[in-house]
Amino acid sequence: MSGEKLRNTLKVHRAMRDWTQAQLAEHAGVTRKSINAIERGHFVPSTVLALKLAALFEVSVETLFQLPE
Amino acid sequence: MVATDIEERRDRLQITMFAGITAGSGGLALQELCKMIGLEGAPVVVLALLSLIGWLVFAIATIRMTRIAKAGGTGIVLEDERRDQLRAESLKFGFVGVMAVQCLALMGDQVLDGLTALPLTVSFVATLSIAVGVIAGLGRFVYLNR
Repeated sequence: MSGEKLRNTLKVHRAMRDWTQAQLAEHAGVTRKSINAIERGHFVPSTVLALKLAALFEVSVETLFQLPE
Repeated sequence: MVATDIEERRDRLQITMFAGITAGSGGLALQELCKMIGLEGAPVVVLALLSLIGWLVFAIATIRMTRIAKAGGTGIVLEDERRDQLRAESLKFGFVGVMAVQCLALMGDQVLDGLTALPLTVSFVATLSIAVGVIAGLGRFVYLNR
């Protein structure tokens, strides 16, 4: 996998909606492990998936994902 | 059955498949090694049995995995971009493994031939390449998907 890292607030937004990883995965159309890997910063999602997740939480992609400083 | 259960079941089956193929193809390669060095009898029989059991475990796990994959029809997501990426990474790893065995076999043939007058047989190198390829590839996938 690529060495690129991306900070994200996925866990915070998920908690705000009181969703489990499995529930978010179902909404986003991915596996629960992928959500877990994204939250831990082990997997950088594609633009499409990032946009999908942002749309689910009704926030901008930049709010959800940030480049590390 | 919920998506998480299916995912976990599939992950366990992947580990079983890995164990099966390791025993199956590894046993086969070791059998070829025995043939090459002229070893016969009990060790070869044990390895043949181990290999057979390994392939059987692999086949059963693959059938069960196919049944799980059909759960996709119920709307449960089992494949996504992360798994595609892991698969590509694992294939690359397996390919590098095969290439490494081939290179080592080429060099080893020269050294072994000179030292022991025991040339590497084509069937041994072929089965070893296959074993290393599948074990490295599937093993890498199981490791990355943990």
